[in-house]
Amino acid sequence: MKKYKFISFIIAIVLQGTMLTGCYDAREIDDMAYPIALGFDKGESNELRMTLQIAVPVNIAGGEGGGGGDGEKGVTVVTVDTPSIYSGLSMLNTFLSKQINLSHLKAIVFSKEIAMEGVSKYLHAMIRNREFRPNARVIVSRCPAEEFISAVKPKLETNPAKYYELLLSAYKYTGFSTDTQLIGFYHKTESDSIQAVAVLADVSEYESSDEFSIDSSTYKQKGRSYPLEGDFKAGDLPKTGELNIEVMGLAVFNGGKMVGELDGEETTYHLMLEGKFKSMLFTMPDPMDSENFIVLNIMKSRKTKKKVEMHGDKPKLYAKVFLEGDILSIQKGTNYENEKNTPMLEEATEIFIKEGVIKYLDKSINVFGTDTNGFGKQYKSKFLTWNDWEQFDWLTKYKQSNYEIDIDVNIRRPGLITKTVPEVIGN
Amino acid sequence: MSSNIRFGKIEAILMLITAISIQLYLGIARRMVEAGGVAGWMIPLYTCLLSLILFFFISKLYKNFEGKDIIDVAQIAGGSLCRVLVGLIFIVDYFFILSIMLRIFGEDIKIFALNKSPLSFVIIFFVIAIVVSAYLGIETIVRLNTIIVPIVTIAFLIVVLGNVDFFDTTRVFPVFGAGLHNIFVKQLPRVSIYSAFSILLFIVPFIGGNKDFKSIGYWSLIITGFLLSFGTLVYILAVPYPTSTEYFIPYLHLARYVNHGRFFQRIESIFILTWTLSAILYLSSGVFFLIYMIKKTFRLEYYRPLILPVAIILYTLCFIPPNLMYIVFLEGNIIRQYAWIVTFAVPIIVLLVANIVKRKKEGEKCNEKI
Repeated sequence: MKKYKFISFIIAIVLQGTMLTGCYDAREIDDMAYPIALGFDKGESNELRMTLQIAVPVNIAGGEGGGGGDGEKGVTVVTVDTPSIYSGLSMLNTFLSKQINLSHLKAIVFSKEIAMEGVSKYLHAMIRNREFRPNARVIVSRCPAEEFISAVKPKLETNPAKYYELLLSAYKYTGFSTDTQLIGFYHKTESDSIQAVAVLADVSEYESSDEFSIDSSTYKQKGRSYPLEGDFKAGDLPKTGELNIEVMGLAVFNGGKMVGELDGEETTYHLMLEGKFKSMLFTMPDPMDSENFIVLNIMKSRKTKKKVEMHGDKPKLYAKVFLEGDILSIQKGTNYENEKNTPMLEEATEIFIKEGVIKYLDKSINVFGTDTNGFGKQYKSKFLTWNDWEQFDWLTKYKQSNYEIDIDVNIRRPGLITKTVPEVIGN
Repeated sequence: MSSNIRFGKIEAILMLITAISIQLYLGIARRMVEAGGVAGWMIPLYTCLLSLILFFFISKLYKNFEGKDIIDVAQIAGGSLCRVLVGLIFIVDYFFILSIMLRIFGEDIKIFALNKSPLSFVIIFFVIAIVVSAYLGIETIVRLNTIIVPIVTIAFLIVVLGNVDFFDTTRVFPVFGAGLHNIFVKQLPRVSIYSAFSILLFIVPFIGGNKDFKSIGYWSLIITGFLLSFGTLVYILAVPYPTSTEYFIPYLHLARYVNHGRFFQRIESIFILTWTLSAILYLSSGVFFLIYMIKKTFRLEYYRPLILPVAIILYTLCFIPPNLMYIVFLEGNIIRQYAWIVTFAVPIIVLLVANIVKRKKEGEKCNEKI
């Protein structure tokens, strides 16, 4: 009996060793090509132009000789005109030596043209496939996606996947983009209580600093005489350098169709209202001297409070944003750190932000007519059944909304100095 | 399969919990949302309450049949004919459910892990596991359950906690979702989600007396009711309606969402492992009791010669449905709608008849004495 058991045990081990080590599904990591970014444009010779930025692991690791890799050489870009995503992958597989595997995809880039036509059909194809990660980020490129992806040449990062992860998480400290994970974006395109936004990106407009212009800045539309840092959309920033891409602002969606763009500052206010705002370096005119600036490091202090009430047939939106700030710079040298002036600075900041939020909400309600801030989610609790909620037709009602915004700013810390002593200029 | 085999209350409860709440790893969360909208989490609680009421009657009627399983009771109720009839009802029911579940487990593994492997190759591993467990017997299956349930629970909790960032409490509104009528009237047959509870009717000889029978029944129903409701609620909080009606394996999606920093992600690999373990436990318990039913129904002396034929029949049956969509239809619209008839209605009828027969016989005996 013991002998019989021992033989059974050996057979079981041998069977496991042979059958469980893959067989049909055995695929070596080295036999796969891993795209990091996937771009979609309108095709010339076919329905869709698909661009893949594929990682070259040998260059990322630094090659045979060891040492550091090169971010730029860490990727290669291929483009194909195709009728659909998967037929494109098949076409690419015919000439790439390795089989394409999308499980390390970090960025999905839609050109503005495709986004305005609607992205739902592509999203459904992605969600259906297990290789697309739910945390890949959705980007809308103001230029062709092919151009954008080809321009991504990381300089500070050897690993292109890490580059995208860090780049698209920068909203946590810039406030000029947002977290648009594929799954969240997809859920919002199918929701009737909050609508989707995607990160706006573009290739830099300028070759050298001599060409800089602020003509495409949004500052004039806001009634300012000079642009602040948030008065730009991606591609319009007066910047140059080897890093040729820009990520700033948001593409606003109604369902799966893009309906407009937000600049950096509007994006900040969107984050504040949606409740995703974390922190940013915030510049505003000095309340005592509008020729000079005050720079604060503002951050969320509490969750944004939102409420919706119906006044007749029109919704009234209430939002209270709670922020706290540290002083980073007072150009004029005014002593805002003392007890008397701090409340003045707080009030001026509140007014400045409130004006911006109001302008942003005006645009959201009257220009786009899309509830990207999720006010609808707050009002759903007033209904007992889903049918009642659907019949209420929130997204149509949102377009007639009025609003009341309250901003609460507390200046907490003055930085490493407690007061500003004016400079002394000799005769 | 000796009647000397005994296992404790906790082991029996854990086995029933695995058998019923395995549905969490399949499509129950989606199905509850389809039925009740954002109030889908209420359905498992409501049907749990109904199951508790039904079990209350079963346990009352079982009072006179301590240590006897439902086939023994059927013998008392109507002799051999009744025994064979009741036995066949359960055997057909178990063959149907287990073959469908075997196919679903195989198809699911094929979808999210071994998508290049032929289905027959994937399913054969489940069949091997079933055959080995059945040979080793109920004691091994029950003990293994006790070891694996905590591991599966930890994996489940990791998925739940990993999704906390995605929770949005506004997603449970409007509070009555698809409406009171849809939830509390139309979903009455959903008491079938507790169909695996019928295992309790066959473990009676392996557990203590009526007291244990009652507490195992009540506790397993209460715990699974809570688990299924909580699991559905987690899904509703993480995935907005109506998108939540799209996902084929809701908890696989939730496992894929977990993403904390650049290190803690792709935990669906853990999910797949624990998912497979639970599936094997479920199938092993189910197949063991199927064989047990055949043995008892036809009064066979040994059960081991039945293992291989039953496994081959199940393996063959599971390939009859033409595609996964049809399998999902069978599971959702047939098993989870009508399985209550076998799980609750048949036992209540058999027990009622057996009680009447027993009283009649006792009455006759008294009359004879007088």
